[in-house]
This record gives sequence, structure tokens and C-alpha cells, in this order.
Amino acid sequence: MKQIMKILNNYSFNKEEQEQNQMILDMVFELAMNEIIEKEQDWDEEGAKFDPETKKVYYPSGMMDLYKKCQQNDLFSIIVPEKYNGFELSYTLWTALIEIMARASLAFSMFFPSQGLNIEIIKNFGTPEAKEKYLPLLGSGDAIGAMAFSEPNAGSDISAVSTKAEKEGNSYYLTGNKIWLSHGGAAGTYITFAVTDKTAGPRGLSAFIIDPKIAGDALEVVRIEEKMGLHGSITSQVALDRAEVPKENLLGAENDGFRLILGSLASSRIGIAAQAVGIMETALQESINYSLQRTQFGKPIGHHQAISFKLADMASLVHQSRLLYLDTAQMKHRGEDTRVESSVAKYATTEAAQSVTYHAVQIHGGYGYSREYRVERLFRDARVLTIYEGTSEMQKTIISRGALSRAEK
Amino acid sequence: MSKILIIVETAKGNIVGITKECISTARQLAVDLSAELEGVLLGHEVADLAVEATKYGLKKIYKIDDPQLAGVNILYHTRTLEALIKELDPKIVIAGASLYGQELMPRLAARFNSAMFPSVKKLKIDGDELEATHALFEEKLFAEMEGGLANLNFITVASGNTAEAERDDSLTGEIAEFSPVIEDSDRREVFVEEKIAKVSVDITKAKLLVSGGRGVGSKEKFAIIFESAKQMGGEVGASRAAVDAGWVPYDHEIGQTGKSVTPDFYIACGISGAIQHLVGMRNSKTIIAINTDEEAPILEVAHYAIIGDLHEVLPELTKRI
Amino acid sequence: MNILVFVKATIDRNAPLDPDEIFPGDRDDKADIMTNNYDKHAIEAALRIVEEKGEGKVTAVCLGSDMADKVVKEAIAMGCHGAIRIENSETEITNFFSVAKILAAAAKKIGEYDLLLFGMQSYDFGTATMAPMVSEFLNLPVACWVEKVLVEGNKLRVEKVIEGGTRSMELQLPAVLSIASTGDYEEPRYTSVRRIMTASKTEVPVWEIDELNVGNYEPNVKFDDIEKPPARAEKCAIFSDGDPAEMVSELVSTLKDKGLNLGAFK
Repeated sequence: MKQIMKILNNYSFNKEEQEQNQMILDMVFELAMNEIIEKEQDWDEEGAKFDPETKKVYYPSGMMDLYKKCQQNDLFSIIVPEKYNGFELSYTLWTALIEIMARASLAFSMFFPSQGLNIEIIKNFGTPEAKEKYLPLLGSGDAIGAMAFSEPNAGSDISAVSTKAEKEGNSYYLTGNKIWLSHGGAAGTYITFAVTDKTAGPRGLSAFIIDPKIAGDALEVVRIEEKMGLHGSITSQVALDRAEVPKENLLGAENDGFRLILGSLASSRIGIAAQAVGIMETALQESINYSLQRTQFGKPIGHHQAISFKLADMASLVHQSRLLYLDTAQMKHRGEDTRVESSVAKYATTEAAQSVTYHAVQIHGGYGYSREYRVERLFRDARVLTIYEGTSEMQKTIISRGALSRAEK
Repeated sequence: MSKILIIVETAKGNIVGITKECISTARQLAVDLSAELEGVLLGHEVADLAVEATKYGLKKIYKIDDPQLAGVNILYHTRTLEALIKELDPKIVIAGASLYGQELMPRLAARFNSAMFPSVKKLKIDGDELEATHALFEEKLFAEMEGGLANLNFITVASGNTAEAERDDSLTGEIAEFSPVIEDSDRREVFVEEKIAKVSVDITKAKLLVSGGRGVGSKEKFAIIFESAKQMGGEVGASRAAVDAGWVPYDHEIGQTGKSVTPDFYIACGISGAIQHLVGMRNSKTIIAINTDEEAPILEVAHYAIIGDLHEVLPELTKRI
Repeated sequence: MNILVFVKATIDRNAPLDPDEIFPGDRDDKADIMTNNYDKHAIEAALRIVEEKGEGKVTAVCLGSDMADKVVKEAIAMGCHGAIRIENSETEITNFFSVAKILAAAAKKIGEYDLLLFGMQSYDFGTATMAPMVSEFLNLPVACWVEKVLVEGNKLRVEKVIEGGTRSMELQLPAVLSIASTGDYEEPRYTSVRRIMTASKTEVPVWEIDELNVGNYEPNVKFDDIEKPPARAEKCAIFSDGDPAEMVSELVSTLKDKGLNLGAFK
């Protein structure tokens, strides 16, 4: 907490804003460390559930109770504009919140980055009707925001999307399959793409908000994934069978979806970087505690250089990574274009998280491999970070393109 | 001769343990000050209890026996004790730092415009000063307190720091009657009713206690604690968490709102060790903790700890004993 | 229904403890300060009583240095309608008797109140003396360790913790209560972003002790040395390697070596 505040106070927040940041993060910290962390192991063991009969999805026990506490504490409305009943606070604060949540449970922290991205995209590209309707819902948390981007043949290559949207009257009807949807089946809004002009390739994609209340049975969960980690979070495959989307739920102009979403994805990557730092911080703390307790050859293992140097490397990575995501978030908060910087932050921090969780397991020795110890879950959970929201390879592509294009100009 | 006055607390027809600890603590003070150790007992139909109190070494008991005192009304007690203290002029007034004593004594002290020694762990006379130790920050620090003996001093004694005074039937003492003093304005606090769990066991005498906490998991799972205690020849203890959850009756509760115990062996199973629990058991001779969390505060007071699931470890232990 | 709830700033539970820096004013980092956790139950009780009654006002009152501003703001961010801080910067007043006199005097100055609420004790000094002492100084009825409050006209029906159960009392208003950390108010609410925004914009009046006519008083009991407890002579022997049977074997043989017979009671 002190570290986050030290960095935040470097930025140009006035005294009142600093006080707000501190109080909000204190509250988030209390919620995370008193209640969420307690459930984290149970959630991992129980996992999210899917009932194939009713097609309903379930978060593990107790998770929604804590989600409700986040609602009561107004956490989802931090970056919602005041006009839509939000507080219009900084993106920097929002990502710091994500870090703290991820320290307690990566699965629980999954509620935040996608909520943020839904809010961002609707705020920037939604029709007045969509903003009026969905921003207050997302801000109160009454709607969970989901992103339906990937398809069986369209992962990193979003332009390969094959879901089609047919316009009839005042609505579009979407048909296709979407995979890897966090919160799929539980969400209140789904942001997605579909082809509106077959002949135009990426320039024929449009972006939409699917409202499951309007789509009804035409949006159906097919299954949920059994994953290596992140067991507490729902990851679904969803089938769209002429799912109705009213034209007010079109984002931006028709056939302009690709450009629009690519720009927005940049900001959600900062949230993933914050998750990476949350995981790393916990892995570091667990390792420090363990290495002071565990005695071998007559002294705590933390006093052996082999371990203390590992801890130093881990602590350095955590600090670098935290600076990176907060600085990028602050840049975005000031309204700068952070497309390349967000990729750098996502790439560097999520790769660092692999190294930090790897060493955390190593420091714990045999216990690190035991399910009873936290670091085992951190190691599994961390693995997804370099994959979702754009793999490390995709980030490198973006970063190198940015670097090359500057050089070539 | 100067006097030390002990407020005798009773519950469910018995003198409570903390009062006996107060008597132990006060004995040395009485010697140092050449003072008489006297007690006061308030209630209704408490003649037998007054006699019993003398068996613990109180030379004189002021018995205040009145139907109006049938239910505990701390304001009536405060008013009555104020009058008694004015009449007796003791040097020191001592009560247990029970929930009752902690409410009563600050009120009394305030009436005499006096500060007090709250929840003391140790107490001694040094010249013309009274010195006491009071725990701060949930026992992470200790403060020495001092006050002049020239004034009247009010003290509450924290439980679990001294052995209880033993009953000695050869002892006798004088019983003096005193009338309650209750003013009309005191009717602003009215006793309505008390709900108290029935007591069926007395765990304070057990030599071996197997004690369960929140970590036991459920009422059904708590059976393992009873089973192990039975097989090892001990009694069952519990933390407040386990009692509040309804897994085990109140008479098994150990800690601030339960009993203080000092058995030869205390086996704490799935008890993390909130300070409220520790104050009731940390003077046990040998403490063994069974806990999954190596950082649980119970390890701060335990002599031995096994890190593991109590449902696996306890049966093994029972088997080996 | 006007409720005053008394809150205290203490060193944070997670901050390092130093016998020479036990007062919030001794520290320069606000992260080392917290609201006395027991006071949050009192705030919860105050807010619930007002909510259930449908009318009323809750004012937080805090004696402390400017390091306690955080605590005052937190009280508002939990839902209190206003707050007052009584400046205590030059010397932290350690004597609870004097503190009780100051708080009683502050209540008198505020004047309009029906109920004064306290946490059941403080995390730092833990004397649990405030509610009973203040009630005496104001000549008000009091109940401590209260788990449940019902307002019935100008009376309160309260349930308080006693060893082994509960006791119900009826108190005439105005009255003083100390609120237990168990029972109806066991889970104090969190602050919320909305209320934090309000709190950060709320000016908290600061009163000086001199304005309160407390009078001079030299306490007859003083805190003297503050020390860390002596380190334990023997640390806990931890058995954490191997399966349960192996750990139990190790324990049993260690006990035997020490001449301790756990099997003596069968």
C-alpha cells in the first residue's frame, strides 16, 4: 500500500485527490485482505460451475457476496463519468485497485478489467441511448461487463472473425460462436464484433453491445473451460443464434469496429499489467515470510545468499513493474495515446510475473509444489497473464511496429 | 487498621474464579500494608455465598442482600458501594476485570474523582506507591502504572495471572449487613432479564484440555475433539468462535468471556489464537497447537506445534497416547 | 435522534510497534494510523439506530492530533453526518481519566444529544473505561458491551454481553453505551467511494481543549514505563515436516525427552 501511494503521490494529484486515493485504496485493501483472501483457496478448489441442463453458470460459493460488497462500496463506478452517476476518478486509481484485488485473488480481480473496458468503450463509442442505459448499470455493478472477442478461428487475429451480423429493420441479428469469454453467461453486457460487410475484410467488422435481456435464448452458454488456473472465474464458450442487437447498441459507425476496439484494448492491457503486479507482490511476500521462517543449515533460508539474491531480483521486478503500469495508467488518464506503452507494460509485467512466481515456488521447495501453499496457485494463475488480452507475441508485434515505424519515418 | 476491600462477584450461585484471583493478588498487598482483607457481596439470598467467601480468606464480608438486587443492576451496585466505601474508608478497592468489574469500577472511581488501575496483570507496593502492569496493544507492549497510596485506589485484576485462592473450610470471618442505597434517579437503569447457558461441566479443574476453534470446521466435525478428549482422559475446551457457531455449549468456552484455565496440557486444535482466547489459556503448563497456519498467533504462546490438518493429526496423536 | 460516537486514532495493527512511539502524533506516516477497530462497531450501531428510526444525525467526536484527521474522515466516509476533532497536539493525553473528562466536556458543549456511543475498548491502551467514566461525569445511565439496541420512545432496550450469556437492560435516554464487537454490530460497514468523496470535501471543525472548561486535574494514577514484554525463554518447537504420523511421533518423543507424559490422564 505504501509503495502504491508513494508512486501515486508523484503524480499531479492535488491534496484532496490524494486523500481520496488513499481512502479508497485503504478500503479496497481492507476488503481484499480481510475477506477476499480468505476465500481464495476455496474458490480455486471449488471452481466455477456450469449446469448443462439449464445452461446456467455459477461462480464459486461466496464470490457474489463479495461482489455485492464491491457494489455497495461503489467500486465499479470509479471511472464512470459523473454524468452517468459515476465519480470520474483517475484510471491510475482504477488500476491500483486491480492490483490490490489481484493480490488477494486473481479470479476475483477478473471482475474489474473487463468492467473497465466495457465502460471505456461504451463511454467513447456508444450511442447516447447506450450510454444512458449501460453506463449506470456497469457503474453500479448491476451489469457485469464481458468481452466476446475470440472465436475458434480468431484469437490474436481479430480480423478473422466469422460471426455475422444481419441487419433487419432496427436491429442486427448476430450468429456465430465466441470462446474464452470471462463471465460469459453471467454478464449483463457483452462487447463483441461481427461481420457486417463480408467483402471488406477487417474493414467490414462492426462492434456491438449484446444485451442478454434482449438477445434472450439466442445467446446460450455451450460449456465452460476447465483451466490450469483461475478456477474461480467463469470462462465460457457462447453460441449466438440470431441474437438480436438493437441499432442503438452499435458501437461507433458500421464497419468501423476493428479500428475502434484495437484502440480501446490498449487501455485494458494496463489492467492486466496491474493484475500481474498483484500476483507478483503476493508471491514476493509469501516468499519473504517463508524464507524467514524456514531454517536450514542453522539459519533462516532468507539469510542464505542463494535465496536472498532471488528475493532481491523478485523485489526489483515487482517495483519496476508497478512503476510501469501506474505510469502508463497515468499517461492514459492524462489523455495520451498509450497504445505502444500499454503493450510494453503488459508484456514486461506479465513476463516478470512468470519469473517471480517461478522463483516463489522454487524458494518454497517441496512445499511450493504442494496445493496447500499459496505459491502453487499463484504459479498456475500467473500463467494466463502472458496469454489473455493479447499474447506476449502480439504485444511484441505491436511494440516492434511502433519502434520500426518511428525509425522508418 | 487499614482495609482492602474486594468486590465479590457471583454468577449462577457461585463465587466466580476471578474473585478468587483477586483475593490471591490482594493477600500480599494486605501483608505489605498491614491491612485487613474484607469483601463486599451484593445480591439477593446470598447468605450462603457470604459465608463461603470467608473460606477464601476474607476476614469480613459486607453482605448486601435485597430483592432489588436480584438482577444485576450496576447502577444500584455503584450507588451502594459508593456509600459503603465512604463509610469504610478502605485504602484499596479491588474487583476482577470481568465484564461486570470493568463496567462497575470506572463508574465508582469517577464518583471518587479518581483514576484507576484497569485490568492489571501484576500489582505491588513500592514504598508509598502502588505499582501495576497493564497490557497495551493486545499484550504486545506493557505499561507500568503507578499511583500514590495516600489516595483511595481502584483496581481491576485481569484474569489468568495468578492462581485462584484455595478454599479453606477452617477459615472463618465476620458477616456484616449493609443496606442497599438506591435513589429515585437510579431507576433510569432497569434490569430486565438474563439469558445464561446452562452449565454442565467444569473445565477449570481439568489436567488435560483438548480445545477446538473455528478451524475444526463444523458441529459434526467437532465430535473429533470430544472423542479425543475422552480417549486421552481430558475435558473439552473451545474458543468463542466455536461456541458462537453453536458447535459446543458455552461451559466449554475459554477466554475473555469464558473460563480461565491452567491445565498441565492444553491442546489447541484449529484455534488461531485471538488475544481474547489467549488470556484464558496461556498459563497452561504445556501448550500444544495443531494448526494449518504456521503464522497463527497461537504459536506465540504454544510450546509445541504441529502444522497440519487437525482431523488427520489428532487421531494420530490419540492413537499414540 | 442525535448520536455522538467517540472515535480514537491508534497505531495501525500492521505497523511496527515501538515503545517510544505509541501515540499517533509520534508518527509521521499516516499509513501507520488506523481508526481504533472497536470504534467501528460503535459507528455501525449509531448508523443503524438512525437508519432504523428514519431520522437523526450521527456526529463523530475524536480527541487527537492532526494525525487523527484520517480517522475523523473515515468516520464520515462510513456514513457519519459530521465530525469534530479536539486538538491534542502538544502532548498526547495518556490518562484515560482526563480523556474521559475532556470527552464529557465536549459532549456538554455540543449539547444536543440523545445517545453517546463508544467502542468497547481501544486497541492501544485497552482500558475500557471511557463509556462508564463519561456516563458518570455527565450523570447519564450506561450499559457496556452492548450487542443489540432497540429504541422505544424515550427509552432504550439493550442486550449486553455477560459471561455465558446476555443481560437485557432498559435505559432512560439520554444514555451512554459501549458497543460490543460481537452481536448485531459485529460487521461494521466499509467506507464507500461516494461517501469518501463527501468526506474529502467536508470541513471538520477543530476545537481546542481550552474551550471546553475541563478544569485542571492532576491524575492520581500515571502511566510510567512502556516496554516490550520479555522475549520468550523458549520458542515454540514446530513440527511441520512429514505426514501426520511422523509429526506426531516427533512430538511424542520430544515430550518424552522432556519428561512430559501426555498419557498420564487415561
